[in-house]
Amino acid sequence: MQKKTNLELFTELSVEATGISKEILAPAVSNYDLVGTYYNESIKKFGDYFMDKLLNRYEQYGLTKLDIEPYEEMVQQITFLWYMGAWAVETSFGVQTRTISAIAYQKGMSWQVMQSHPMGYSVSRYGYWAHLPGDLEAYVGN
Amino acid sequence: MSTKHYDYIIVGSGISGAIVANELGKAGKNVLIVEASDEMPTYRNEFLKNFFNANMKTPSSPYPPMITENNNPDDPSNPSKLNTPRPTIPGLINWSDPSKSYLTYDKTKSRAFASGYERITGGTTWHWLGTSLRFFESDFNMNSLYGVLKDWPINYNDLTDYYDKAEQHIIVAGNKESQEKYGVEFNPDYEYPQPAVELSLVDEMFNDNLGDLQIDGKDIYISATPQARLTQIEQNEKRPQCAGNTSCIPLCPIQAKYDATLTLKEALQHDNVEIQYKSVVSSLDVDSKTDKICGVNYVTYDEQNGPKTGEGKVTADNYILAAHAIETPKIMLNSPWNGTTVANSSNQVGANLMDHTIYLAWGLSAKDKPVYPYRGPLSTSGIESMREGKFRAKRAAYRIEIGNEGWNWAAGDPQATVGDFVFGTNFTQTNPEGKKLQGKELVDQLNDLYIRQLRLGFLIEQSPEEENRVTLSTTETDNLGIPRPHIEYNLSEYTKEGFVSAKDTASKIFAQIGATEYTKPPAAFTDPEQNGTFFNYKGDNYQFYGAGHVVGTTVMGNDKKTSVVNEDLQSWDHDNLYIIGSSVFPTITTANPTLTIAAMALRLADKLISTKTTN
Repeated sequence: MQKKTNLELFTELSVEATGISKEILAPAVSNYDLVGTYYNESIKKFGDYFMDKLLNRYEQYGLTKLDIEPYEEMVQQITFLWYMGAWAVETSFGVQTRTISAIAYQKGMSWQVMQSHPMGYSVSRYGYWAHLPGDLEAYVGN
Repeated sequence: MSTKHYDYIIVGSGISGAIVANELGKAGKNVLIVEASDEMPTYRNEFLKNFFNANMKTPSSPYPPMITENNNPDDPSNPSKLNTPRPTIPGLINWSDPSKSYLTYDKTKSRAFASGYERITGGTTWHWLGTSLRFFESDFNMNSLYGVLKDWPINYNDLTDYYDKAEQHIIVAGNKESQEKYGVEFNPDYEYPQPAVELSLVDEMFNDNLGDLQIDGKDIYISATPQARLTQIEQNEKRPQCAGNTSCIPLCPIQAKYDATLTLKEALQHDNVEIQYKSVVSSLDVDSKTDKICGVNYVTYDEQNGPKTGEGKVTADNYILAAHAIETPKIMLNSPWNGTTVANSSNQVGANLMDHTIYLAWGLSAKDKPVYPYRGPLSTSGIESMREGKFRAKRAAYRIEIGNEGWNWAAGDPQATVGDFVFGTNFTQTNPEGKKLQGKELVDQLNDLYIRQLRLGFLIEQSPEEENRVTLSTTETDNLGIPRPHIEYNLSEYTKEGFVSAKDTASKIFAQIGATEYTKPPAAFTDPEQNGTFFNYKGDNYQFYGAGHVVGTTVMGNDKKTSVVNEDLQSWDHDNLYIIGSSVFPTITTANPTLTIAAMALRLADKLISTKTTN
């Protein structure tokens, strides 16, 4: 069997950690290669060495053996990145964000899990807010 | 730069300036608008992108100036290096540091002023919510009725026709019957130009569960808030129908919500209305023989953080200050006259600074009553019955705005809740066990919380206090050398009693609808020296927020000893000087100010057109 690339492993890890399906997180056809962007951003943030170690360990053991440092925080940061399109900066008064890009903000999965749309960008029509949204599965896959 | 002499010079192109310019333009008057900022970009997407990119998403995030190393609007630039600095949330967080906060303070004497505003073409209507309530008749007569606050020199009846016109002009969607229930009187046969906005699922949950709740003898029920966003497609297609982008503040991406650039565009279609951009007004000149205003002095610049590129003076027969309730007194206080400053024989210029101080309360609806927030306009309904009652003799009244934006404002969501359940923290108080979740568990947990988030905002009527004042900083200037506003600002007992009531009312409402309340002043804000918007009263800690409703500072009145302008908004001291905007409001009242600002601007325009021009 052909060895998985680090990008493939990063995608699998992202899907498993976020709980969002691959079709939503990293659709085969997309104008915005978010998975590629986030993979590269993660390398920039953590460095090649630790990313390699993280993904190797993930390939061997799955998420279960990543609950030790520095891997636990790496996975947490990557999860947060998918949800907010931003890195998390922890402060004494709560988490602050460092946004990757305008597109990343709009593609944040937090909007999906709340069955809504990014604040500032909706494709729905007048009055949609008076009606129930679609099922959660439609937003996060299954 | 103009060498022409005009009929009118208007300082500022926000809603007041734009409306008056448009009306005067229609009447054939020669008008010059002097605007501190640049022409608006052709596409509002530029502003929208700034908002999307911002780390801290605040009302000011989309707008210039954003002069920082990485063009990051969250990074509070040093206001002394900017040509049109303004108060921002990052500045508020660093309120006592004049290298970060545009407004300066003596923090031993003052709390922070919690609201910001924009110094851009079109003014702060870029990021207003769109709420377009009329004031109650009692709002104009608080002293006569209850022996507190002040009476206005005009009454509701003086504004009725202008409310009609203002609602038609900015196109308000509303329901007359629901307002009449609160005692608002409309002209016979009058109808709002568009039907009221659709209520959200959040509103409906309140509607279904408030039952027969009464507080302080008042029935507690919700009604659709009249608002200046289109609910139907408009015939002339100036604006589209609201699509519920849930970002009215800071920016409606499609301009379904009114902003003053619409009126300004119309005004500038008159050949006799001109605008001069990037001209920051520094002061007014007075003719020492006649006491008339005889010129507006301004400074020009090319780049926001660049040097001044010139200065000049423009002249007209009449002058209208429409620069905002902090900028207008700033200009006046920088203009010497007769041993004092322009229009200040009463010593009331800058005094009585007010805001709707906001008490925020938040909670989660019952498990079986999800409300699906973060959808639709930021607010579609409110509870207006607590705006009026005998209790106003003793404490501040308030209206209650029902939020559609979950805990976005209240707790910094969505990131706060994601952060808690990813990193195992408990800033939102929803993760006391410090769970660190992944996968489906994370999705389900977040979904369960987000879809039940509720927020109530209590807009508390702050009392006018002479000591709450805008003066000029004696040490700090902007990049053009113009002194910056120095603020003294505190909450009176009357106002604080409003908070006590708001806290109690919020808890009763949440209990009535079966919600769990999560309101709590954040722990990091417990040191009043550190946080300017914190106070302790009768043993409880409170956080107050700003509504962006900056009021007072050049109040209108019947007595020249205690007011700056008369009921026609004309300076008592200079008969060719008029002031327009919320700075002339003697009290802040119980409703959001913009509709009344628009009505008063239309009323002034009518007066100016119908009376002989002073010269």
